[in-house]
Amino acid sequence: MLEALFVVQLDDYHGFIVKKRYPSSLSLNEKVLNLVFFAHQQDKKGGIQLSEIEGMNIASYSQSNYPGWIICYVIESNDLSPEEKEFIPGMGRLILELMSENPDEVDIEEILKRKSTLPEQNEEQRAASVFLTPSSSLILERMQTQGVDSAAKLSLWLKNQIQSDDVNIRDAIKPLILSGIVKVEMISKTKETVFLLKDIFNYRAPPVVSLQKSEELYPEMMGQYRSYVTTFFSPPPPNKGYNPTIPDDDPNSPLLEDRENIARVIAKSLHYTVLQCVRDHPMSLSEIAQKTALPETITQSSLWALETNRVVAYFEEEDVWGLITNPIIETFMPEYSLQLVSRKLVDKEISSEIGSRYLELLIEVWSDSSD
Amino acid sequence: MIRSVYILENTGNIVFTKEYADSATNQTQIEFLINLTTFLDTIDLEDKTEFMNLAISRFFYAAREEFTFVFTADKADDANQIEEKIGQLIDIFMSDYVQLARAHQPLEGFQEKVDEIAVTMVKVAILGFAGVGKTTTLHLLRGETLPLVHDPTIGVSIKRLPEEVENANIVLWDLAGQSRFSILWAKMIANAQVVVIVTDSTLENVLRSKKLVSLVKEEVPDAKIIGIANKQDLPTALTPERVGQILGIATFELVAIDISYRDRLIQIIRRAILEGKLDKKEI
Repeated sequence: MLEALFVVQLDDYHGFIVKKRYPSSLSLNEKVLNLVFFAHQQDKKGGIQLSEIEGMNIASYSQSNYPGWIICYVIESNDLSPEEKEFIPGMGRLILELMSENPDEVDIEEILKRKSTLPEQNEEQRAASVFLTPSSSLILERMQTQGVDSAAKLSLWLKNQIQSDDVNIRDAIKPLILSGIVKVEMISKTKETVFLLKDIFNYRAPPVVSLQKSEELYPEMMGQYRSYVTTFFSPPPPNKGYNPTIPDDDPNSPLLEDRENIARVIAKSLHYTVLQCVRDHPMSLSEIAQKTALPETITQSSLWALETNRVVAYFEEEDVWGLITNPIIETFMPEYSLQLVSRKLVDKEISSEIGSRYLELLIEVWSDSSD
Repeated sequence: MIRSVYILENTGNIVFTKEYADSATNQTQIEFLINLTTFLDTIDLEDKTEFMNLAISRFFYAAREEFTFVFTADKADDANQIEEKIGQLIDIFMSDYVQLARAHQPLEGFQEKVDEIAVTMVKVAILGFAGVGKTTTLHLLRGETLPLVHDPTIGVSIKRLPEEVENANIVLWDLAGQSRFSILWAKMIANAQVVVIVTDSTLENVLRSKKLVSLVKEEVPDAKIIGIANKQDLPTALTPERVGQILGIATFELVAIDISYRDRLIQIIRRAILEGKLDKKEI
């Protein structure tokens, strides 16, 4: 059972700062903060750490993408129930995401009361991170023209593109590995090879499901709803509608900028949780808050952010939020790369071992999903 | 730390200047700032603060209307902290003093406000292996009574130096020396402007401490490193010169349990902060 909660951050100048605590009477000292922090430094992967410090059982949670932040739960016993094992990281993810936005507005008492959590990132969200790391998207573009490449050659190419020796290929390729888009393997004990296993398409789809369900649920708002969607996807000429399939090489193209916006919406777990809710049909603020178990203030901020990104619109008379564009990140099999790889084989740029391993990997990845 | 503050007009006229510490300012640098002002007049910084590195210094600059605001700070300074400070200076100047500056009238009371803004936080990390006297050094710096019993530090102990050094608030980070806490060292010395490596002046400890010098050079390359040859009252102590030779850094003698060393130690840290990473002769 949860007895208390506190959020601590290590600031490079001030040291440990307890940013939030519940109850407010909870007393903490430097030793407790040091030992909690130390436990997380020992295992840099993040996640839950259990400690017993000065008579307190503390389950603490950290995430490697929020360095220096730790969410600590004072619990009755160090044996975590299955429910606690799920709830502690989920609430930790939510608090970390909220603290990174606007710490003053985070009400941990309300979060505790509602038992609000955020789910772990799914495949679509992991793929989004590729578009938010400039060197990762560069590597993806390169892999789309290579199919298979040696890690050393890819590293040289990246350094040349960025005009800097400081770039670390391991950091740049990490989002691609985590999202399963590429795989890096040692072939012949000496050669690290990068294989392109998936490609990604990032676009806004029309909200077909939501429109269909709205016809039954909110027939009176359909005129306005359809007009919002039509204005975006197929406005009357001379305006051009949204068509992400038209190739565009201009780096300043609004479509490319929009791809980043889509990725940002999807990568942000709060927005994504709210988005998933309204993908099905329009809902009121309180319905969304209830379904997501998020506090209403947080849900409202997310909806405003989604509205700014032209994802949802507010229908005043019905007091509901409806999806007007559905941001989607889809992965697909890079069939085109088979031709690239066979040419490389003919030109003896790669060995037959690498070629056959590539086929094996593609079969492994894609036969599972088609079953 | 913020070493100097300048406000210039786009005509090249210097509206305000204040020096807190030697920033190696000379006529060439003034000319550079005037040229910078002229250049900034031709572009739009969009209310942003930018910076550039020059020798040991980092110039932070921002422009509003016909005025350019420049802070000279150290490369080791936290850029966010300085950017926040320059923002505060601009707000005060543009709301209360811009008309006086345009009329070429004295900016009464402005210097006091700049002095308040220009106080920055400077991190001094105290590093060394267990039992060499780091916490005793911290107590000495703070003028506190020494504890009778040795109580090993856990993680890090963070305290302020009671005195300000020029316009800097010194925060002392006393890092635990036990080997189990060594995984924290790299993280804890981040953003330190000065790292004090304390040794107990025995050959074994000094040789081991060479690793700490390498760690600091790797993790905080812009920090000034000073060595402390502590426990000079013990017969086995190597001389500070010998300790310095082995460590390859400027090293000073200390008996941390002797209060008479306090002023000397504060002066050593003060000089390290003011000089910054490179000694004058190295520039």
